[in-house]
Amino acid sequence: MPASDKFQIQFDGEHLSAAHGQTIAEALLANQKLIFRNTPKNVSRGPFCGMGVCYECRMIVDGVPNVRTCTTKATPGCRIEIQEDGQIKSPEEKP
Amino acid sequence: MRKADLVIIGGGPAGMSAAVEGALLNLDVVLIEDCSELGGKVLKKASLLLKAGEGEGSEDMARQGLHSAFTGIADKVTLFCNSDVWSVSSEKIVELYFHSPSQNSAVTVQAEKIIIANGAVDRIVPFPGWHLPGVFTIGGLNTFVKRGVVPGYNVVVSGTGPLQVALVYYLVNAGVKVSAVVDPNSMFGMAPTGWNLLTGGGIDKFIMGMKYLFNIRKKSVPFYYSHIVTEVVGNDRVEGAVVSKVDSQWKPIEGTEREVKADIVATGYNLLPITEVARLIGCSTCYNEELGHLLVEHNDTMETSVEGVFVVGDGAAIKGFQAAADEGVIAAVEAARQLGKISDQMAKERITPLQRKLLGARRIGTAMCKSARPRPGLLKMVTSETVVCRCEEVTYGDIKSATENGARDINDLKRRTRLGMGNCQGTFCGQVANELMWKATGKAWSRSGFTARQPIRPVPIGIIAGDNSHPELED
Repeated sequence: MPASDKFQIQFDGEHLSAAHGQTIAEALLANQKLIFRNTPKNVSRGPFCGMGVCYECRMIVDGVPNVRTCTTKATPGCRIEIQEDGQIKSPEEKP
Repeated sequence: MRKADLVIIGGGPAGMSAAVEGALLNLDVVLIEDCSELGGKVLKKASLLLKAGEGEGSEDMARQGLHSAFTGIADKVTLFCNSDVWSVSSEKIVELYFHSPSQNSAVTVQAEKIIIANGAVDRIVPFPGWHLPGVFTIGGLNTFVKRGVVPGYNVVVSGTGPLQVALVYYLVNAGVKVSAVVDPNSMFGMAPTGWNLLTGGGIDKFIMGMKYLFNIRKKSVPFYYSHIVTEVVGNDRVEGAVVSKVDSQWKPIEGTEREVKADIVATGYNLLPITEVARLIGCSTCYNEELGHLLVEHNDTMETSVEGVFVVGDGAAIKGFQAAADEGVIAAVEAARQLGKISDQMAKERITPLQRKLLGARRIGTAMCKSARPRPGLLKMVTSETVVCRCEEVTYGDIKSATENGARDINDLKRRTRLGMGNCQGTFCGQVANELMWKATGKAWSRSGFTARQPIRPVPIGIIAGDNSHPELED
């Protein structure tokens, strides 16, 4: 793949490489990141169905919570955070 | 409110073919897809790293054919991608919601005819540890692997069905170490499927299956027939898998457990049709004893019990993308006939050969689903601590105490435990909730499904409350 098709995304403060056309979930999994959210009982979860129906891969993307990362494309510089469902904030509360 | 002759829910092979046919017959078509691109799970546009020709030949051809046919009529179709249908009324008013971080809006469409083409979901049976990151459905892991993404180094694939063989093939082709392929069927469990493929006009699928198996064998992947993964161990991700031998009813045999190296586990038992939109509209369904799940009733032009509402593709019954595309065409032609766009004679000439072609594919689909269907012994894996409803974190122990306290059916169970109330709306736990209530009480009784209610997908309250009529979209 040509290098020009690669770009950086931010994952919990870390810079990761993503490829053009990849979904956020694909980019994170390609970097061996498996934990996407923590449940109200604080149990870790990651992508399961890969097609947008199980909602296990939802994360905070550019400050917006509950984004299904397996159906959302990664964009250069996008900010991805692990979603803590025990302490979710609305987008307005974010800095 | 936006009006349309034909609203198609789902942009996979069935929905795309229906849209192409509808547009060619001069219908005003609205096509709704929940992902960012068309093609469904099988025929999505070329994968990132999978070079053309690397996939199965007939699949590649179908992918190219479908996408180029759609490009030819794209300007005649209103396409809504990244859109969840959260409500459809029996008056054929379709409510959809665009989901993406940058966009947050909704549209309401009044349809004359509706084609439901929302496909299928992996069939699952819960087991201890299946909620851990690193456990995927077989279909789910396949989506990633086909895009060149493999999130681990030691993969265990456990379950049944043709997708399992395809996944292992893609994994070994990608150079990934498959620690074990685990199948509760005996080595001859697939024999009836093979026979049906050969005699039912599925020779290309038979050859494909043989090619897959041959390539897998070449890489000496360890196969465990009459076994199943009974547990995934790990703290906050998969660290290993326990494999057990099963009896003829697929009940794990105590004392046969062994641990297998794994950081990724894929699980699944072929597919189940998604029926919630049809049930929400009020289409009749019936429980199929052979397959062990609900089917939406339809006639030979794919029309459901609700006039002008059609169900096509794997959402009607599992039989693969070629047959799904044919059903999409049949439904679109019949919709056009009902709207007076073509004569009865022309419709008949287009539909009859397709109906004949479908007979073999349906027989093969049914045979595959039957041999892949989870047998009751598998439920022995489910322990009190096993999470059943992943969204609301309801365990089998919670189900047991709810039944002991008098829960009568799964809707009652839902009210008592929140099982099925979460984001996925019972897509996974709803598959086994009845059976787990039977397990808890020791007898088989209710067979009811969850009552379908809007919103069938999570949607912000502001969207439900808002005015979604969008005058600028009116024609």
